[in-house]
Amino acid sequence: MNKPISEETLLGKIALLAHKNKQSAFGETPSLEELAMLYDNQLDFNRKQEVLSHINSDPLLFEQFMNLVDVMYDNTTANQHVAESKNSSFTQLLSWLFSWKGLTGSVASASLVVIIVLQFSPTSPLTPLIEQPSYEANHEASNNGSKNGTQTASFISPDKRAIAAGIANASNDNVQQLKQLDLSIAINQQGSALEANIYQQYFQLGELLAEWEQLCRQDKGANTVFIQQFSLTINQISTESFIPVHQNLVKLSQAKQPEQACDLLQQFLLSEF
Amino acid sequence: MSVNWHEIVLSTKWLARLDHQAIKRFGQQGLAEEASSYVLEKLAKNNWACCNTYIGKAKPETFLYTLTGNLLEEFSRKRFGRPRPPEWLKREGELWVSIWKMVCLERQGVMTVTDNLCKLGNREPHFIEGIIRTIKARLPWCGSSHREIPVSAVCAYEQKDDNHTHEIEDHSIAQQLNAQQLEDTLQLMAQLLVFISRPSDKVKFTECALTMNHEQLDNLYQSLELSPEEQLLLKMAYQEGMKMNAIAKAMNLPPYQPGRLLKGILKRIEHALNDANISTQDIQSLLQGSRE
Repeated sequence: MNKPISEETLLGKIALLAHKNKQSAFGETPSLEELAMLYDNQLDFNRKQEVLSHINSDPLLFEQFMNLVDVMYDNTTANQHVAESKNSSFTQLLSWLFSWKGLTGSVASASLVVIIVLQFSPTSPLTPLIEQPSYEANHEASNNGSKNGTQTASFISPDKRAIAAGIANASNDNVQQLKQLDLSIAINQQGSALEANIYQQYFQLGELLAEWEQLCRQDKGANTVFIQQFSLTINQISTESFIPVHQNLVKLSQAKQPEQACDLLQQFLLSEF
Repeated sequence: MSVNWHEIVLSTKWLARLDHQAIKRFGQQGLAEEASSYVLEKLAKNNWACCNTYIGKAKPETFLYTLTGNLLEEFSRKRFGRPRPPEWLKREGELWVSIWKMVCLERQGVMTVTDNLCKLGNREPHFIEGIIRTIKARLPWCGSSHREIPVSAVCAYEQKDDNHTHEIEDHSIAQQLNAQQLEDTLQLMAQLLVFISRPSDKVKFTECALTMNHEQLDNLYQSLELSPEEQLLLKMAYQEGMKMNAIAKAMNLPPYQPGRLLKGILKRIEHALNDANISTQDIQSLLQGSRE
């Protein structure tokens, strides 16, 4: 006997059936180059709508676009796998350094600095933006300095600032737990020392953490799709960012039980913010 | 715009990607090599004439991949003919047609097709396996012989393709929605769909024995309105079976966005149906009933 189709699939298919033949394509038929431009996000809004309407109503164009999507997904994912394997050897080296009993903290820190300098040479595309500190960051540092007399502002890593911004953005006013966190360290994209795309990833991570926290509050576990999104974000950050991902976040993405995940999330939020 | 296509296409990196694309499309090494040669020959013909349509707005590599995809399909048509897929299969969407081509016409192995379409995790294997099972159940000749199928044979089989057994798990929505037992009870839904596709029939529709008022109908009509982006999102999710992260990449969205957008669209549709006194549970139990 057939399995019942899920309610989501049923609704989705009804919507597609209902929409069939409802709208015809508008605007000129797109060229192959315009399909490529659509994938590269280079079309203006109006043309994009026209091209999408053609893709939706012409099975051949839809097939061409899906072929392109498949090939490009393969290419980017294959590149990501190469980067991940490179990164994993780097993280393995790091974990070896830090797990060596005889090594003191200072030597470990010095090694980390040397490795980072070697790993991210000036030609690397992942080089952090450090040559032009932003106006906002300077302004904030000078304000903190004046408050504390001769003391300089304490360093808060840019990843934590971006995550805090994401949490602050997604926090619901009713959630007391998140309101108790010190999110004053949050910084916007213009003020961050991170490159825009990396800042966005940390920001999204913050939003996902806030959403997960709310699910834990309501005694609901995160569903598979949510956990996949979370793991993907963590993977992307591990690959692209020069800052190692916090261990609790890695554990969180691998947690098997909802209770365990909620505990790890709680620990991370309490220890970091 | 002048691009050195020769240099791009004949680079080791691009040739390796072409091989990968061909293997993914045809499954077998020999056939894939034949297809790659065909693509290279076509691209280079008349001093890269087919690249002349490029006007320099897209990235040259992305443009080349679009071109390559089309040439691989052209190769498949030349090699295996252009038989028409059955109507029920076309209704299921383009992925079903592609799988039908791969499994029934090109006789690629089930495992190969599943692996290639789910490689790197952009789809769930059980989604593809379900489609293959349904196609094989409804088209018993599919993939059964290693000789090429004459086009006439395919057309002849089309006539018989509905003689399938109900014991085999059938994932096609056509089977689920078109079953005889459902015809009367789903008339409401059919009228609804007709109305939605032809708003000029609104008066006619309201004359039928439905307990919906004008306001409910207007709301339903508006709620089921989809933007081109929403429609593509639904197609990718429910017809192509793509995972959210793959959809996000394809549509240039942040990874969390497609899931949220889908949730919003489905909620909107569910509310619209509920307001029109149609519940998804009712449809679900009707579908269940038709299959028992």
